[in-house]
Amino acid sequence: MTQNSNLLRAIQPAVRELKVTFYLLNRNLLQRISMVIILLLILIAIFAPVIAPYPGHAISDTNPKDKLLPPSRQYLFGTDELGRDLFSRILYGTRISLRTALLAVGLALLIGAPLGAIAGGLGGIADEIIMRLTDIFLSFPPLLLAIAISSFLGPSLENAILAIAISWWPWYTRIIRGQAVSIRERQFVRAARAIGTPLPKIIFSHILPNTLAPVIVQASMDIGGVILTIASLSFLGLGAQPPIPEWGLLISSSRTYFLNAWWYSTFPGIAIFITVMVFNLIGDGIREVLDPRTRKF
Amino acid sequence: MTDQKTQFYFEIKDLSVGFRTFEGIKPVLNIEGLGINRGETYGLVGESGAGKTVLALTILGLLPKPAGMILNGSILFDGVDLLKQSEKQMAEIYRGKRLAMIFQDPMSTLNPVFTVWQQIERVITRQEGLKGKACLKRSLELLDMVKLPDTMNLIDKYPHELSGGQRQRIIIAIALSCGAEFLIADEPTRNLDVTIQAGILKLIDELQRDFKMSVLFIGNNVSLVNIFCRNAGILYRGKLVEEGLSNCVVQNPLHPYTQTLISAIPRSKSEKLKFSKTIIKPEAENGCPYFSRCTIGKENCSTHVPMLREFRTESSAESLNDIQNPVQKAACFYAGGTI
Amino acid sequence: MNQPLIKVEALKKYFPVRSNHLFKTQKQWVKAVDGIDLEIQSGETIGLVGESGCGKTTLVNVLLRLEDSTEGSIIFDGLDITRVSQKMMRDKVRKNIQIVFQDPFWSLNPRMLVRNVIGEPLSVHQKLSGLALSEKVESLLDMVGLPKDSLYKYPHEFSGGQRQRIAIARALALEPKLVVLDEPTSSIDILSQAQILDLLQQLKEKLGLTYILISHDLSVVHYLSDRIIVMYLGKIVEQGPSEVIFNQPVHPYTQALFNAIPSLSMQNLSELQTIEGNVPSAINPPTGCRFHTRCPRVMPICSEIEPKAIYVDKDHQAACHLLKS
Repeated sequence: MTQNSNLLRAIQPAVRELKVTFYLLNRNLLQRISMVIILLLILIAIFAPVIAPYPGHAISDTNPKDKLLPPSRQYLFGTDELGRDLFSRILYGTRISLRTALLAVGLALLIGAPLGAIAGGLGGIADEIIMRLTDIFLSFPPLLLAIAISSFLGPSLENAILAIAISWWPWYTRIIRGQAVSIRERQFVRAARAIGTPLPKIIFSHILPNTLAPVIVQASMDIGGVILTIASLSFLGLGAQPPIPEWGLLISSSRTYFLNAWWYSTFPGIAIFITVMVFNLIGDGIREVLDPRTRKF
Repeated sequence: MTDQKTQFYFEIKDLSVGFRTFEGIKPVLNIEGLGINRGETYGLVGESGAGKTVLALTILGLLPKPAGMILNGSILFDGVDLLKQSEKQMAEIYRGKRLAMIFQDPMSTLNPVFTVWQQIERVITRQEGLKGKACLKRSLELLDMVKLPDTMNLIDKYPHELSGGQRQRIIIAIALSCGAEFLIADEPTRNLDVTIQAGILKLIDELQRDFKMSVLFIGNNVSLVNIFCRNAGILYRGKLVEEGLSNCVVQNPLHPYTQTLISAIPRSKSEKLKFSKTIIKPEAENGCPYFSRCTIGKENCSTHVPMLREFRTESSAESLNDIQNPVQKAACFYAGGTI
Repeated sequence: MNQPLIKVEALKKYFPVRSNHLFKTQKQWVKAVDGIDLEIQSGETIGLVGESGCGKTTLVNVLLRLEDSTEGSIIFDGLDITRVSQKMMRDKVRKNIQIVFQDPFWSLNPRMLVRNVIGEPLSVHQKLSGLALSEKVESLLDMVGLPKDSLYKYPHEFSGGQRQRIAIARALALEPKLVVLDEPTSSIDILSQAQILDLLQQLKEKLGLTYILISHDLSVVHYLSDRIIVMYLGKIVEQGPSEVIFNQPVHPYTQALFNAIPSLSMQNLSELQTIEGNVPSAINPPTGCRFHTRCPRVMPICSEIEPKAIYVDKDHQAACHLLKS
């Protein structure tokens, strides 16, 4: 009984937090629209097999008699060279794009955040080594690095995720490190030192959690960028392999039919455009939510 | 109410200001009336969150826009309602010209990438149209006015090269460069050492006399307001609960809140501190804002909001001879009685 | 009684600063704490006063070994805390010396529940966890006058005064002997201040604590302290019993400092005294007496010879040439 009410009290701040977040995101029309679209994308990703009119077309089924048909009532976005329904394939593609983007950003955070906290929290030689390492990574053009890594690892969707994470983490390390340096001087860190809290605990339970706000903003804005990069890699043949209906791959295979089947490249393009755009817009909103100055009422 | 004080140089009437939050509009200020005569100092005392800074921002038309809302009332300055002025008029005629403000943090008021000279020059050129030598001469005059030594040398320094006291003096110089008639000083000595605080206060006091300025001094230190200001007002949760001559308010506080506030100042080890044990009663939504912490409040305090009413107390009667307006006001149904 | 709880001898803390000229780099030193001797008896409250930049905060950082000292010794419990290893420090000393910081808004980790904030010293030193930790934290909350249901709240849900209570509970969790109060009330309101001061006084009597109180608000110092130490530019200029220092200060700096504070008994501004000029740089402190550049009663000898601390009375010391005669 008490355990239960304690739990309730423990989640109360989180509930309030959610309410404030929703309120702040809801104030701006563009952000409201983005929020709705993102929710929609997530729903599509989850329920793709149910919504898609031809779920079989998404992967392996072919239907050669209907190849390269323009949009019609039967095939909403038209069909591709193997007669597969593009609408179904794009719906499935949402699933792939969102999942790969989240995985890639998550992996990059998992590598970058602790390194940044260690660099900023410890200072000295550790800081120097980690930051020079990030400098090395950052001195390559990001897309080229991802291309190099994924062609080294071999073309597959999993390797593309890995390649993107490897070329992306230094950004997070930098942001976290900058935050950590200023957090380190805060009084609660001095208080922890005065208590005698061991250094690893100071870094991971005092410094790291307080540096995450700007990184989460960055990460949410990066989701758009990562979707774009995955699409680029797939377009170059280094990411998803046929018959996976990845958006970039769809555009890549549409190249040959570009002149006589406009719908083939246009609809996956629009899908990428909308997704990248809403994630960028929502990133601005999240920045506002996380900025303590906007929260003072 | 008597209508003896027909015209104040600066007057706030029935002002109420609210902030829009996700839980609806939250009132933050509710001032029935506050008047300052020409050349007078008025000290506003209150705890943090009482609405002191919101008041300063409202007067200058600098309330954060989508969130802050003026719900009602007027702020009359020299016969003009400041709340009815457009943003353009405020910027061109009032703010930084006839109304000046000094903030509590001198470091963030000055721009760290410009020298003192560059910062003063910009203001003088914009407001007085002076250039070159004339401008430099005027700048040095201003720095002399705020009693800074070695002005020729100082003027080429960056803000971080100066001490807190010097920075605050420069801000005063810039704020008063165009002969302001009304100065709002928002805890101008909060981040300064006591030794420097005394100097800054004396400077503001002297300039106030020289320029016949009216000063609205915002502070949280009762003793400071007492020695610096002629009149004092006590703000509690956005409401003016007591006002009067600062000496009277300090020596003979009427409102229970003022009484607690003054007895909470530590004096020495031998004197025990008196203080209210925080909240003792539930909040009264339609009643006196102090109800929840008040020790003398009765039934009607939770249902009616007390208005400011006048009192003639012993100490005010005493000073009746030399001061024209010895009235002390308090917003409490049971004020005057002892706790 | 004769054995002091903590004994500081000839303590110095210099910070290096580099001034870069075009071709040569010159290393200079900021002498933040420059030769301090100090004894604190068990059960005393010491008030440490002085302008910002006088070295109060540095002294405290060195006492807590948040920074290493340059020279001198600090004997606490028979151990020289300037020399012991970090491990010794953690095992033997930390739990006995705790600190309450100035700003309750930044001294508590905003992303930790109150239970974990107050429980941190307990989990580090006594390896408490789970129910045992919660119970101990509840009793600490009760001791500082906060409701038990504060356990699962975040620091930002509390007012300044309440947060300072949380900070006090954390400092007292390990039952330390010495508590450093670094401006404990300077960023909270006057009413909360009165409550916190009262709480600190009660806890001291109940737990037999020793306090070092840093504050620029002399009324607070007057209220809590038994003995007062006045610092100027890294040195102690006067020390003695609180009442004596307040009523008959002998050093011109102490006099000036105390006259610059507005009090309720003052009527108007002219009663406030100002000290001319700024605190000189601690890189090249003035020769002789460090206060001579601003002293209203300066004599020729002051700029040449540094005055030694003299006993004015039994426990009242001051360092000023005026006292020679």
